[in-house]
Amino acid sequence: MWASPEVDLDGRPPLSAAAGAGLFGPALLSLSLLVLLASGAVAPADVPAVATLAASALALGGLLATSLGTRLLGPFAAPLRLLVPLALALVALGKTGGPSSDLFPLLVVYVAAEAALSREGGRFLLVGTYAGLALLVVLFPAPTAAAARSNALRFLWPAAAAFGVELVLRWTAPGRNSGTEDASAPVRLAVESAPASPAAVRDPRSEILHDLKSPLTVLRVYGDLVAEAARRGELPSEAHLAGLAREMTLMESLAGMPPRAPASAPSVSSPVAPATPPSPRSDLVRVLSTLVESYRLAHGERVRLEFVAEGAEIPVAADPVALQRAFRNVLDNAVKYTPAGGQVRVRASVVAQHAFVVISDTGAGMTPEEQKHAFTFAWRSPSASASGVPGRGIGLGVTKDLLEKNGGKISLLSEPGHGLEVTIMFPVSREAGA
Amino acid sequence: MSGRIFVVDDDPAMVEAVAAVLSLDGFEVDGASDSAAALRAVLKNPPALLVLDVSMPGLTGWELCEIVRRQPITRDLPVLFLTGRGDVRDRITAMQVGGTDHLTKPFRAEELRARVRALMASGPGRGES
Repeated sequence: MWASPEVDLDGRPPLSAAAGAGLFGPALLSLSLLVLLASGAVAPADVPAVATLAASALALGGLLATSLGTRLLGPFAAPLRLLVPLALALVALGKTGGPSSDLFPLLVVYVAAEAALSREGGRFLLVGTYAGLALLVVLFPAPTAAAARSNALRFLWPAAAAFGVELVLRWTAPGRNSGTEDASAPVRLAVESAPASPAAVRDPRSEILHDLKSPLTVLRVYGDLVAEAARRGELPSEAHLAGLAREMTLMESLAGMPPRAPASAPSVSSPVAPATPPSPRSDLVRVLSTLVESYRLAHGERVRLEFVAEGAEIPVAADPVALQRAFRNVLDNAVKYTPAGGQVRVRASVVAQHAFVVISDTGAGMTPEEQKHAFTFAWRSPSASASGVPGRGIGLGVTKDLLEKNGGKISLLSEPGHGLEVTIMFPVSREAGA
Repeated sequence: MSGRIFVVDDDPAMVEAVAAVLSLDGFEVDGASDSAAALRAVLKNPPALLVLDVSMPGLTGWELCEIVRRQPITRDLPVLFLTGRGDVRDRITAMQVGGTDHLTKPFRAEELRARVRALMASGPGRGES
């Protein structure tokens, strides 16, 4: 139905929104009315029919905007969806009678069913649409009762057919009821069904354990490689030892342990002194632009993400892996706590031999009391917990550790209701060409 | 064994660790921690095996796999999922989107090696360098 042989290299499965927001009904309805016009069942001279034609074109335009909108129209896609309600209003104005019409109860049933089948934004849109439509029916009755009945009957069968088709489509789709982006995209549905055990997702302990699996895997893998080298009677690779030490450091941060001296970080005895890993260098611009791009792909439709860097590169003496983890935690929070339509800005600049990264959002912000505890391990503010936004309260604490171990500093600035600004500072690497 | 393997995980440390294991086995390993960049790279130059994390910002591993499966040039590419969630439902989803095999984190180097060897031995070998 929707699969395209082409791939959207910007990352969205094509046409993934086509079936959303209850658009199948209006579109099929419009199509049916077009067929009626074309077949001569409705006289072209009939003014309501002209309205129907216009409405059909608008509804199909709206569907097209929704289907291809993200790729072709960018931010204009959402407003264009309003063509659909406008189209329906025209249909109502042209083709229906007053509350006495046969159409009226059908409209009520249709509104209720659509509202039940859609969700969140789509639900509001649909309820508003059909409420407005019903109002128009009341305000602009057909001139005579016979005309109203005749118009209503013409309208009735395509509407009923469209509704039936939509119901079948939705209820036979594997992820029925899933709303705006999902009904036509098996992958998206699969992703949404990912948390197999909802209880596990809600349990913060399970979530923390899940987060630990990646560093634990890396730790195990490097441990295995070092052990294998020892069994072969070879010296372990310095890169493997450095990886082991880095993951140990991360695990210690997660466990809230104080940092140890680098020389003692790897826990394996080795003939090679693992003391100083090669001096790490990172380009802040590269790390941040990659991350922001990823988040834009994931959340760009909901939140506007902006990245501005003063300079083509900003070299700092820090481990790129640690940096990416730290910035990811901050960006995760910013995106999570910013409501739809909000903005997350990331700015990177250099001032007097110091690199500054400022990540600001337009979310709810933090009270001074919340800021005081923000870096405490596993602490979540009551407002964050009440917000329903998933979280474990470990991100900022780990971020602080990761940054400080790499020579960075992090601070917060916020006023409740006016977003949060996270500032991260590093000394600029003196070595050029990071 | 030889062949080119592409590893995608939003944690660059995981990409490095997987590459460390597989390169010792003689494979050429490329990787990315940005799923969109990974998709571009894979479609431009398909590897012999794609190793995918599931939970990533941007495209998830499942989405990436599903897109790869739709392209004629990568339709038969073996895909190994690395996932922190190993329950039945996730395994089914991995299969539904076209995954060939999956490995649950935390895994050992030897497990990874065994899965990859098996996939590389049975795969179509497309893109081998």
